[in-house]
Amino acid sequence: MRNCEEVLELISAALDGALTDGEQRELDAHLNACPVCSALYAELSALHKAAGEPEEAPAGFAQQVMCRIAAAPEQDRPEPAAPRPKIIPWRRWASLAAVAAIVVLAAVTLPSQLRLGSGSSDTAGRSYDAPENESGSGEIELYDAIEEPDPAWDDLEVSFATTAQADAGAGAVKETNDAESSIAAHSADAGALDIPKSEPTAAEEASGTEPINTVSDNGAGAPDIPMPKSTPPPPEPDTAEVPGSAGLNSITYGADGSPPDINMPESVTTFSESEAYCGILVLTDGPLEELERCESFVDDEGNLCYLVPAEDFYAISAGLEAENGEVKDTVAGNGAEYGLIIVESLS
Amino acid sequence: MTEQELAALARQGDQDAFAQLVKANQNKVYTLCVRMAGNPEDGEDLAQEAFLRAWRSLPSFQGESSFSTWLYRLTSNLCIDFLRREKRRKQAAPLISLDDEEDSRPAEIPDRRFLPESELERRELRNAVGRGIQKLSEQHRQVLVLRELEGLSYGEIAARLGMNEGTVKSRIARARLALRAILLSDGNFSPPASSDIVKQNGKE
Repeated sequence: MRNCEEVLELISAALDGALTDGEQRELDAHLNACPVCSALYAELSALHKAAGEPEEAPAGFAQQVMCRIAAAPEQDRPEPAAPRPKIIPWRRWASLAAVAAIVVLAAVTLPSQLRLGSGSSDTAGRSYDAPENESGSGEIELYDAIEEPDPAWDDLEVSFATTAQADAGAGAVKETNDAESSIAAHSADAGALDIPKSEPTAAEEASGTEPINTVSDNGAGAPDIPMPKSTPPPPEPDTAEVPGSAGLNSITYGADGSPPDINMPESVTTFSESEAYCGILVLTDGPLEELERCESFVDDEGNLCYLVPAEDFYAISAGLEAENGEVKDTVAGNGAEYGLIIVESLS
Repeated sequence: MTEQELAALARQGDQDAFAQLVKANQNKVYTLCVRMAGNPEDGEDLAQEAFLRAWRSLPSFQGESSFSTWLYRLTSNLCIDFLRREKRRKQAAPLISLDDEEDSRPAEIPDRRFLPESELERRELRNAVGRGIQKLSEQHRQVLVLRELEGLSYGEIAARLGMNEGTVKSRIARARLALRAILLSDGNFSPPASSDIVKQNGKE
């Protein structure tokens, strides 16, 4: 006969209909003999029912939703429009390219060093099976471990930069980034990988629009790009529903003080053809649980970056407030397989 | 029309098609939001916001999963986001005034523990469970939400979180126990009419 500690799991599994016949018999036998567990079973069963009990949306819910949609300004309805050129901050683009290159190089040359998501023995400080926190302290602690960059990465970066300089010349953009040409050089190596590919010709297209070097971005990481329309945060009763105005508190402005053009509808980046990612999202507050199973790596700034399948990326970015993450370049349907979610170091 | 057809139309801007999708999914979305938010008011706001987000994000919907799955994921992320904001808000203003409706609202669990008989008691228990879920540790809340609110199987949860099924199973069991403990301690609070500070004397 099992002890009560073990029976807890049987009880829980019984609620989920996940018991084998043998386990069911064991459970019944124990419950017959143990009033404490019997009471526990009844209580957990009631909580289980209450938790899962379906609610009905209040009357008129659908109408209210549709009214809000109908009343929303034009910008609220992004159209699957043709790609529109957009200025990309030089430095951010460069670091993306660098990130992509690092991923390519690392995947090809240092698979054991690559810090992938769950399952890797290298995930120091990010063990998923962290000790249980049973205190019910009321803290809703989302993922909270940020790693130090692996020194191996620095070496990698150095060797990468050197290679890049040697390979310079492939890009057609004026003042092209070393990283960008390095990507071109290495994209052949990356043939087998699904993640960041880029073509040299994309640079030409990019340069056909606005010269990248005129964008002011002094490295504060402040995008000078038009921000996609942000939404008012939902359950804040004191916030008037002014489209586009809410959630901008955390958005930093360009170095020249120009505010992001919040009325710009979601538009597509300049290098949409070569764009490695379907979108890039920067989280300043710690990643989401869903990211746990995505491939991840640490970029040159020490930020944790996740490669998220496009479908999930859209779901995640659509669900996040602008306040928590700047949705930098959400591209509708450029066909890239992955989006990038960067979790900025909290230090 | 199938969900797929409706979603395709809605993507083109067809509001009527979207309205049908709203009706088809509103209960499930609303249930998730209410449970996660822990109260119907916030839950309703969240549910509405979820649909608005879905509408705006439709061009990004590739159709690899079904519309309702995609919608549900979006909703779930929205709720998590809400909880994070709430947590920050509460951290910023830790003192609870008795006049603050929201925070002094007690979990009115009937004396016969967790055995609701009337509809009112059932609703109160659901609300209490929702609030209790918010207080769980992140690991516990995560698995419990996936199991109870999203209805995923152990295998699906294991796949989603990158764990093995045995871990999922035992974690859910402990999460349920933790939830029960939270509700039991909440049950010691005085009713709202009382002007006493809530008694957290840890009895039982």
